[in-house]
Amino acid sequence: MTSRLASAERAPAHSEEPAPGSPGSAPPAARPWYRALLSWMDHRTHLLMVIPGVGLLLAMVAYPVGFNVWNSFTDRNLSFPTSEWVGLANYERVLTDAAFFSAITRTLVWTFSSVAGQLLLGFIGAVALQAVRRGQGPLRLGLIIPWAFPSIVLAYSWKFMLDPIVGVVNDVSMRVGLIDQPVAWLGNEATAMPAVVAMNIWFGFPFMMVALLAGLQTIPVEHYESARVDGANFWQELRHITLPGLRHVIGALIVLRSIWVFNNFDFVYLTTGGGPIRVTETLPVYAFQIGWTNYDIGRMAAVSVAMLGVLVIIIAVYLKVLRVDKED
Amino acid sequence: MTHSVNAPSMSRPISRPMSRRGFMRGVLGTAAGAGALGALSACGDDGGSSSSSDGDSGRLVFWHNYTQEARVNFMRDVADRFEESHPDTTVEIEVVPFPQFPTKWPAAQAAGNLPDVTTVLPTVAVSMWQAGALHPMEPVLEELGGTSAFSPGLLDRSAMYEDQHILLPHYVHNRLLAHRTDILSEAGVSLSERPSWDEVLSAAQATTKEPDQFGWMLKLSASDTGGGYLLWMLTRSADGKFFDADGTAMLDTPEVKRATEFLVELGRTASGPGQVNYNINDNFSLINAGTTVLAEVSGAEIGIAAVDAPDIADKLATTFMPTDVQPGHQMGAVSLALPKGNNPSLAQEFAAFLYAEENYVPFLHTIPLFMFPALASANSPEFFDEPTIAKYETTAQQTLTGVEEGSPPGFEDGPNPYAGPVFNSHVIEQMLQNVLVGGADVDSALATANQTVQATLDDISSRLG
Repeated sequence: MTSRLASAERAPAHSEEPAPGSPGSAPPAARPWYRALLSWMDHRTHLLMVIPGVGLLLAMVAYPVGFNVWNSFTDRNLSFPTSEWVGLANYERVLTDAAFFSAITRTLVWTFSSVAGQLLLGFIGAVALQAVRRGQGPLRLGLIIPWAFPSIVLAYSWKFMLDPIVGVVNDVSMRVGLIDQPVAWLGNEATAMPAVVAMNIWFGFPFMMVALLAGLQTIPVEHYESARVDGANFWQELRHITLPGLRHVIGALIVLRSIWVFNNFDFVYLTTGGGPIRVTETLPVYAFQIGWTNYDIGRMAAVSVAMLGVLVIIIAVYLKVLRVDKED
Repeated sequence: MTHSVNAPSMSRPISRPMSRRGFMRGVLGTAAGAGALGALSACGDDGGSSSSSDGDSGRLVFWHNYTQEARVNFMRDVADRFEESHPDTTVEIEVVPFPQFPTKWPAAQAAGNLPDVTTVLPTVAVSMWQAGALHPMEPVLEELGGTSAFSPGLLDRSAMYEDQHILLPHYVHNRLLAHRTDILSEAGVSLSERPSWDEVLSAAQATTKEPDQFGWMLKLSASDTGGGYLLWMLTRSADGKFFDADGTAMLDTPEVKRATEFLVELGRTASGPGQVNYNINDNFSLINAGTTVLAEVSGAEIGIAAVDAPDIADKLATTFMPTDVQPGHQMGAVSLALPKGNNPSLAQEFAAFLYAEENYVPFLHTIPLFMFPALASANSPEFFDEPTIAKYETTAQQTLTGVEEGSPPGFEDGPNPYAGPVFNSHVIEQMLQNVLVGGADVDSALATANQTVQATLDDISSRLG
């Protein structure tokens, strides 16, 4: 037991310098310059701890964003070796291009329709799946399968299904009498955007469903039992228990999915290329056309900065409406 | 009690707090050690990018776009033999499909990682040259025996830019009009070898049986250059052009208007729904399924059909593209270029080696009818005796005639910096969609497109000075 007591004694100081004013301490001698540096660093160890994280953040986020903003003020073009500072010329050109504002409108339609559809279907799926007592795991797994495929596979599968000549959608729709003749779903200006939105809803709703299902399972069962004792019906439970209980999850899902869908490029480009006659040309497709067809990196950077501005506004409105940031 | 006796000694290191200075020492010591190790390893590592002083050994990076197994294996075999004849040389091959290439080379240039040799399309090569990413090919050309080593006029139409050969064609091909002979016969229609516009339009209309068979299904997707290339071929057929050598847009000329009207008529009367979504790559399935009776193809589609769908291939025949005052040839030249990599002298040797007798024709034969000779000496019985090529000799001869008479799209006046951006902007596909789907009239659609093209050309001209 003595050894245990000994271990509880205060460990001797390991500082190489004697404590100032301690008995027997020698008068301070001239300190070499590096000791001052070491001492300075010694008192800022916490900064050392932070440096890797900050460095990583700067390298991964701040540098690309900063470089992009810098490019937006130049006439950088990959086909030419030099670039010059052009001030706001790229922004002026973008903001006077009617196609840019049309692309904003289409992007808002694409984003809001997709997220709303995904949320609605995801919510219905989650509520339905929660009621399933057996086989919930396989069902959940089965519904999330779309996420296992690369977007190019999904895009071409949908393109094939919606093909006006060999597509199954037209075939089935004609057999059941929904349409009289084949429809070029992706080639018609009235149906192209709804078609790609439908595809995106199909792709995204399982993610919503799984997240909402997890949220549903955190709501205490006692709340529902109490409500039923008080005579609440399904809709009243939904309105007063389920939706308030999922508020945080729904808020986070809407914000996250809006950012992802807003920036989505591959689904639209691989299915319609932004056509026909630009009715599906969203901002990412518009930016791609500028940047990677003409190598006009400066103008593409200006578009992407403008996109960031639009996205920030959308998210700010979301947060205001949902008041996620003011919740306890 | 043994446990209680041992416990303090075991916990002792934990109970001693680490001083901040000790921590700092540890961190600085680790950093210094890592730095020393890094320096040592760098001394022993060639970094994969060093070049030998004599240029005869080292690491050579070769990008090619040949994705098919037969061509991938052949290129590896060529590289292995090059390594054998050049001791201490390593040839690293990276397959870079053409759709990835336009975004990959600028990133590689920015990172200082350009390959030493690459395959490239002429329009992209001009952009690379403008950006200072290419060495001239003159040393390789001299090694091969000068311009006469290539098919007559080929280099002027595809490789000569700013008085330098910025690329050398590796192989060539040409667009032809393929047709299903069985369906044309059923409709009682035939096509001459140089069919006129009217002849083609009549055949396409006669073989259209909606809703699942169309005379000529157009491919006008805005994510593809198929629509632009097709209109350019028809415009060339009418002896017109999209822009002149000085960078003036010419979409408002009568020749372009006539070609556009012909294409619109085809689109309205002999093409089908979905034409604004199809890409050139859909050609093979559209022909095989009988969805389209006519299609603009290269020999490649015939060659692939001969292997994958011989029954269909037996029913395919080709003519030249529709003729107005001349056939609208669109020559393709998949070429070799020398980016500013790390081993330029070895790169020149390797590029020349790809044209060596033992490599060249055997490479063209890896996928018969896919590739046609750019080298004059390879235009020989050795090439034509391959069984599939011999079977489709007419297609092969039409291709080589087209190569002699045609040019890459937009290069009718020789390589220029305008063609790539004009076709890549998809302004032609947008214009055709405006007419066929949006109901715009041809004149106004062409006027709008002409303004857009002129703005693109002006941008380029201003940068060129």
